[in-house]
Amino acid sequence: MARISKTERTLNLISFLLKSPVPVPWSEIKGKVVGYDDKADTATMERRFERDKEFLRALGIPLEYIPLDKFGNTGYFIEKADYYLPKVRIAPEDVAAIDLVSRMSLGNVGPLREALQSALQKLQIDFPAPFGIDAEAEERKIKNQSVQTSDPEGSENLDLLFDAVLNAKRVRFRYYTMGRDATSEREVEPYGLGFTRGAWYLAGRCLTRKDIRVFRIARIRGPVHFVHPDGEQEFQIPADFRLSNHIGKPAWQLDSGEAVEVQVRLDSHIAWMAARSIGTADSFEGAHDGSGVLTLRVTAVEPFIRWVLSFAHHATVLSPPWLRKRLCETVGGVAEMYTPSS
Amino acid sequence: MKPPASEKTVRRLNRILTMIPYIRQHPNMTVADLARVIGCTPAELLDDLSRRVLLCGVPPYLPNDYIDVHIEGDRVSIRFAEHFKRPVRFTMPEALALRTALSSFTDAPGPKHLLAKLDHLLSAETKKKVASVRGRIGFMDHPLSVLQQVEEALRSKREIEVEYYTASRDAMTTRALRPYGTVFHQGHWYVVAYCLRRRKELPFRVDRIKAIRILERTYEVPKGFDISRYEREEMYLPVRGDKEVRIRFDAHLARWIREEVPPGSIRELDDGGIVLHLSTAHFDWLIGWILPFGRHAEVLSPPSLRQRLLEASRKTLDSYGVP
Repeated sequence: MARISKTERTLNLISFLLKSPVPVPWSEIKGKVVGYDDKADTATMERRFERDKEFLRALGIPLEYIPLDKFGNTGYFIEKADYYLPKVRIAPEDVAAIDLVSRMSLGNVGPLREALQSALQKLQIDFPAPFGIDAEAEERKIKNQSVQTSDPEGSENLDLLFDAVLNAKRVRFRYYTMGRDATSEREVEPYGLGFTRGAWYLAGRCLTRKDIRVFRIARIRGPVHFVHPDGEQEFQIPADFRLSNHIGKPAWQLDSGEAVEVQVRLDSHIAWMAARSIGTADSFEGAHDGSGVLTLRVTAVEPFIRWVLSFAHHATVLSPPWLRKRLCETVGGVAEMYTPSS
Repeated sequence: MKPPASEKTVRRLNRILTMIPYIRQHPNMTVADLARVIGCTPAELLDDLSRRVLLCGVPPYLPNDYIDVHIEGDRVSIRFAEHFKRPVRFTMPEALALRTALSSFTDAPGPKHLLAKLDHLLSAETKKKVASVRGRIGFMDHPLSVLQQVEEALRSKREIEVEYYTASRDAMTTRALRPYGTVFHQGHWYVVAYCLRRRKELPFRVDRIKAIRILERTYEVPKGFDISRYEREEMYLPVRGDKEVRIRFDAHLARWIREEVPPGSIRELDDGGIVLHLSTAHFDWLIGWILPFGRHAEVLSPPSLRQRLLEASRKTLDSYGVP
């Protein structure tokens, strides 16, 4: 008899357990379910079963073992109510939301991508029309699967860090610091992962620097390793840790320098746009003509200057005076650079 | 870490366990349509059905103990699979991914509904695990409600009217658009649309849309339209244009720029600086990108862009009352 595939064997096992109203002992599986009925020795058979149980767990199948009787026999059981996805009533407005999520899953969303697509496929069964997710999007997705692996090392690192965050496991990697143009070895307790401005970042306690630091995943050089590959949970995350305090902050809060209060006047062209990107510590006062004044707490002066200048003459710093002077010097330098020498 | 072979098996099993209940509920769909819904190729779908599902049974393996896959022409139905009547509940990563994606739409009404329902779909254990990492993995940039309206228009194929900030004319414009698709690129959402004002297909940055209104007029997306043309790795989205630009960055900036641009477009200089060469359809986005670098970045050509930067810097100095 030809050896049957792992997929087929596992499917048979799931079928058998799902159809059984009572727990089934290993002896009912061994020698009976196709895939467990060949001439392999007991040890091989048990290893096979252990591996298949891992598959079931990875698939989210609630497999339990339940003591059958006073002799300590155990039986395997799938609780049906925990297996079957309840019926979801999907409203039309949900469909637009799912479309968006589906489109996002086409983009660079790292380790969540596959899980997101799998979740959306499960939801398909309750969609009002067979093509809840539009056909073009689905086609694009298939086309894109080859495009997505442009940075295999980066995505492997991200997968591992995702695991490390979920299971609170320490990691070790070499990190390139752009500001110092230097690479160094880091040991980190990974607290959280955030996707912002088109890139993934890790926030965690750097045991090398003894402080919470943010790392851009693309600047990790070489593979990320677990410090203890087999260990259990290795650290507690401080109760006051908030990912949003570290990742995705406005540019002017990126450093932890001393806070300076800055006022910026925005003209009516861009005031509404700039006001969308301010942080919680900032305020915006709009005038009836569409212009407005932003009051910001700036801890990172250089990134702030770059942000303001990206609006050119539409944004003008009102105070403090020294910052106005800095901006004028910078822009003055640019004007000089492009002024034709007579 | 699991070896890749196991991951492949899990992926395939997952697909099969999702596919069986779907086909049961939607009998006689074509293989091509099913493949789209399931997210695989028609060949993979047929392979799964004929080489795996068809052989799936339970002891004592009498004819009715096997799942019956019926393929007639290109249409598929399944019988004797009552035990696979629904997909498996969400796994922890699936629930987390769904929650993360949905909760990033903070100001849109739709996702909140679905988000509220999500908890009912999780087993008690998954719910607990998801809660334990809540707020620690996420998309930090929140897409705008404008985007959801674009999606609604796209679904119902209705034109939209937007108030859009056009950097080139430094003005708000009101224009009617026929959205063809949306792209999430380098952290920004774009809607690719036919602009009835400019009479051509253009990408629009969603965060530059100040206001949006869905109109009654409907439209069709042209047959040949392919959104994947816009899904590129480069730092800027606007379709490659014919305007050639050369910018010199000094040694201080060079490494930051190298991280953002494709290596082929860079020439290294002896002093540690670089010259970036790019072609673009218009200059607007370049002004706001280059001006903030001050003297560390200089446009070498074309002269017209140098002139634009001179004007932009003088106007900015003006706003500070510097003559």
